Amino acid sequence: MTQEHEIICTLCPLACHIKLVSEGEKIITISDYGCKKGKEYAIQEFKFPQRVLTTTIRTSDITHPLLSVRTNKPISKKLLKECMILLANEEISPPVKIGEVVISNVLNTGSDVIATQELI
Amino acid sequence: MVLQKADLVVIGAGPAGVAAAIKAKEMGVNNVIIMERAEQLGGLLHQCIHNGFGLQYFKEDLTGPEYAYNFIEKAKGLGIKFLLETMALDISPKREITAVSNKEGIINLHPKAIILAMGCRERTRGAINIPGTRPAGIFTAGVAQRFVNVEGFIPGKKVVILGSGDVGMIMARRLTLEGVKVEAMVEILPYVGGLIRNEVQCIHDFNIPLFLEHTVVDVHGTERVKAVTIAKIDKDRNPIYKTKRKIECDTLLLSVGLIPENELSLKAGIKLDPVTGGPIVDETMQTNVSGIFAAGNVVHVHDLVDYVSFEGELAGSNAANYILSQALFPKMKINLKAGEGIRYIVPSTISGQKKATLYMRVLKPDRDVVVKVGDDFLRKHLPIVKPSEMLKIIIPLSKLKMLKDETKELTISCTKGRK
Repeated sequence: MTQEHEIICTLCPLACHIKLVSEGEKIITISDYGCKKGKEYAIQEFKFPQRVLTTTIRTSDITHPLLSVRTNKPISKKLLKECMILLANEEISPPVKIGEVVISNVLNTGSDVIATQELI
Repeated sequence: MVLQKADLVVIGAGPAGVAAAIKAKEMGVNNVIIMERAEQLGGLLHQCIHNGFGLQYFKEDLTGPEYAYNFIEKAKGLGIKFLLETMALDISPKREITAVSNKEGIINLHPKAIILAMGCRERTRGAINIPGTRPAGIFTAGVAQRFVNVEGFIPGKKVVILGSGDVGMIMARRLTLEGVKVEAMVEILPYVGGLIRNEVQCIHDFNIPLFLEHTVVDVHGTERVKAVTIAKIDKDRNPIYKTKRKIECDTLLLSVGLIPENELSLKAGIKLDPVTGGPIVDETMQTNVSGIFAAGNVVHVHDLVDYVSFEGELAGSNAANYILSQALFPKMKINLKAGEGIRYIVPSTISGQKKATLYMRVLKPDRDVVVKVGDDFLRKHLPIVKPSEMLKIIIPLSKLKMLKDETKELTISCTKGRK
């Protein structure tokens, strides 16, 4: 049975509403995309949607209770929640440099969680 | 009372102010001071921990704190002086600044030029007259963002968000990730107010129920918010009461627009534009008061920080020119007027002596439009326009040179068409 998906492209302000028809995991047709990059985006969004996770980690410093962090590469959209739960149980102590790896290869994604702030 | 020496004082250490100070310093202004009421530089960027910053300026996808860090490190390296936890209380039309800080008490400054970079403030419940009781649990989205991202507590467990501006959408995602249930996002317009990227990655990704052409018509609860009532609106924006529905929640977040913060500007005798709420500026970002410039969200609310930085640099370089070589300042000869389909244009006047970069917003979203400058003087076809995405139109010098000498005004319009 085929299924129709509408994928809104976020690559530029045109925001093409791309139509993708699939049968199970197989893509049958893609239409209404405005450019090649948009087509690739739609395929990626269908097969393996990924997002950069940005959040915070608790610190031991009472004046700066949180340190902002992000994944250095996008991770699977499905893993965002699991990653949040993992980070909820972490605590970090100063000093932390901006860009420093806080957790490497988080959830075996090949992506590291890095600090986006300094903690002195 | 302390009298501080300064050539240039920048009020506000957000992205506009820091970029302006860096540029002025690099151009050779000696004594540059940034005055900031918070305890650190960077302004609101510290609480904007999400990514999407810097794609234009650094060609890199950064978070707010990372974007700020790049500028702050540069400013520190250049020897710019910072007056933190210092609040500017008054500016006179003669550029005399009165400020106050815990450390130094009253501070007086009389610089050769000032750059206003105070940013903007969120509209609150009072600004939009939401009916109902007045319980605890009603916050602006930016305040909630500070709670969650900086101070480390959540504003509530079940949240309704009124308005679909970027901060509101970002908070819908952020709260969902932190385990809060976002019951609804309610928007009075027939389309989402913020950027498409945020609509997809914050609203669609997390299945946030979106109610377009709806508004909050009642707030319930005495001690704490217990529920809100929403209703669809008709074409005159009046609620249709038979469409009422009550949504149980403990928190209402407001993401209903931003207002440039211009109390100081008014004291200095600066004229404001009633549409933007910010100072009327010429192409050098100078206000009607000689030697006082302005940049960033204090002038008009931007959607991307990158353009705030560019605007800061423009104000910074012109303030430097003003201080170092006042005689070379060009006269502004041409007024820019917002015509059909255009809400506002910044700057409001240009000299015609150099390339003009115009920023503007359209009144409504549309596809296939033509932006026209003057009477067929310059036209540009755009496949799509949205009020939430600022338009940038450049008039090259070669084009401006073709203008007749007596041209005093250019009207800019945005109408349907392909050519």
